[in-house]
Amino acid sequence: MTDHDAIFLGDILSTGYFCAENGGIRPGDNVAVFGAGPVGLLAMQSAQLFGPTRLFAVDRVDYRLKLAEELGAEPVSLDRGDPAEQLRGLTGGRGPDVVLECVGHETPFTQAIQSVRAGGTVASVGVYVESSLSFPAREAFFKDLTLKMGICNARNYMAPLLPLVRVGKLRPSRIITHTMGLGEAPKGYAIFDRKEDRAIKVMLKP
Amino acid sequence: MKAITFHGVGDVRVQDVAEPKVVDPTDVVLKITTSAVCGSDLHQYHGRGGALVQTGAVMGHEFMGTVEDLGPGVKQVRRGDRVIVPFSVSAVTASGASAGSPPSARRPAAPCSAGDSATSGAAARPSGSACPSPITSASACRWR
Repeated sequence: MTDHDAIFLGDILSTGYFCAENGGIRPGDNVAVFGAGPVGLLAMQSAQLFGPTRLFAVDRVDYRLKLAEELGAEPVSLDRGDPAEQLRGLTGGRGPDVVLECVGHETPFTQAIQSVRAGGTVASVGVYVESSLSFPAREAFFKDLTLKMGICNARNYMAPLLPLVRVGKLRPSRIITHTMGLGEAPKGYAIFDRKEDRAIKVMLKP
Repeated sequence: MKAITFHGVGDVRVQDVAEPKVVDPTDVVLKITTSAVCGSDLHQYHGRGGALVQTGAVMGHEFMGTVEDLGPGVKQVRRGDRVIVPFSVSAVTASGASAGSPPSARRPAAPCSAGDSATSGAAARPSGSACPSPITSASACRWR
């Protein structure tokens, strides 16, 4: 196994899987993932292990939505309007059974709650900068929403997920777009931050 | 050794920093073979992150490598083992819980950002560093 297949077990693959697990996805569910960045893309790979009928990727960045599509998700572009409305349109007016929030800001958190079907589950692993935020409490209440959020204890997921990577049921290295020497790290940070050069995951070699 | 260090919003540089060494019995020094830039590193990159945004703070928390040196309290890995390192730290030795324990039996994970040279040529995790808790040897997932 190469470093590029293994390294994400320590953080973003475990986090993505943890999010999918927290979503309580059951076979046949419709699942939407907010955020097609590294964690969101690995949450999409993980979600597929639980047998969803349809998987949707919500983001604004075209090249990231394209990779999400290659990984088996149906792209939902934020540029085309309210994601909750789009997702209802794609699911017969019902909304996804499970929404995985992989961004970590008030807007996608709110949109996740607005998107999920009544009785559905929102699982959030986005790292919030805000110490507190507002959310549609009334809608969440009347939807009988289940909400799970938190920081993944990656240590508990590394060993169980390792065999899934080994046999190719999870392919975390698919998200790698750049590999550069440590000396080029400032450039790596810059392109990842600005979403330049179609950057998704930047690897560094000492 | 070389490390990526923080110097201001959007300003990271590759600099020489002190070689890591074993300080506490449960410390491990790794030779980093691969590291990565994580989305949560961007918080630090944008100047959000308390102690982590001081000038010279070492960036990064996604890395793996081989064990170069270890303290006498480390039982789960040996010199030369290739290991993956979790970004988070859980106090397994403090609570007595193990990897298979239910969440209620373990303390919440604490983010372990940067403290020591995570994206550099080597990493150690001395408990007195910027890392909130030391990564114990049990935190490393040994594999072949």
